[in-house]
Amino acid sequence: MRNARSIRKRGYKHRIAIVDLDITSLLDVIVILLVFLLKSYNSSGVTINVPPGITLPKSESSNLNTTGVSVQVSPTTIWVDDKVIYDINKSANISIYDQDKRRIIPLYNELMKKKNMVNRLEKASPQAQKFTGVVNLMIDRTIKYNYIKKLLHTSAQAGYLKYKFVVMGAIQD
Amino acid sequence: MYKKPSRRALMRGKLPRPDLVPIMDSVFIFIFFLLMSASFIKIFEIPSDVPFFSENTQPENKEKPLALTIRVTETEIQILTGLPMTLLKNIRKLNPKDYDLSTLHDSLLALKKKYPKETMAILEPEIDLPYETLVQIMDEIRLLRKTDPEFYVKDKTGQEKRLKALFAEIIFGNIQS
Repeated sequence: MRNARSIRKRGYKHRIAIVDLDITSLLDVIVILLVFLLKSYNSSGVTINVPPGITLPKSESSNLNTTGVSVQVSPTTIWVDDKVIYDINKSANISIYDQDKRRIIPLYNELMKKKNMVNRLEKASPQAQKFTGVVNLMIDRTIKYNYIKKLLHTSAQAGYLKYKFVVMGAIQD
Repeated sequence: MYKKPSRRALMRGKLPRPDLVPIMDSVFIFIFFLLMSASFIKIFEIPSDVPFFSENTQPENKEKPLALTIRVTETEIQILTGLPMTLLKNIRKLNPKDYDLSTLHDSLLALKKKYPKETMAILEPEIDLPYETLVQIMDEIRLLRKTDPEFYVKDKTGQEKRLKALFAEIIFGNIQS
């Protein structure tokens, strides 16, 4: 009896139903995600890294960022391309200024090093990126103008003649 | 009497479903690419150049240069023009903390109406301003808002071009001091 039943049901066992998934809702989610990501797409191609301790000021400017050497300045530290070049906690007693306290020596040395490196590469390979003289200044919003003046003067002395003040967009969508 | 439709008849009525798997694959790759290049915090820049001092004599120009200078002092913002500089306007502070930035913007709009081709402004803060206030002043000097009047200048081909900025080139006049 048992054998007879199994023979009768053999056909059903072999007929495996293919589950047809409805992916319409998944497609909807992906399309929404795609639109959101396209809106936040960074077309400038420049990656800006704001170190901890720096709060950028808000601005209504809409100029896209350009490539250049990054000088990041917090109330206690100065970075050049994410490398700490001066920390007030570690070298508080050392004088870092010259030229009537107008030039910041560690910043000048690091900027010159970067400039010389680009110039060397330029000589070695004609296809290498040329020295643009652009300096991206990421300055904390509490820093005072007297200190900013020193940064600008030092950059100009090192041959960086185009300042780009990096700011946060006033309207964040 | 109702007759159950045959399987063949049912099959005939079925619409062919498009195969979405390749599209899904490409969209997924596209999503990862966009995720990598997305910036969720909007960061922009304010350009400025180093001032150059030349000892050479300037070529004669029929039009008087504007030579717009904005000087920020403890109590006011001064708008100076011309060579030698003459004081055009004094804008007093609204309160001990805040500068009257809307009056500054309106005064600059009036100047732009007279000199639409001028793009440069020299900024000279004489006090130890916080960077945030400096950026606010720079915004008022540089930007044209949607509510501001429109300015047009003729380009090389003689066609009128709408200006997108007020005085876009800001130069710090006193970084050497």
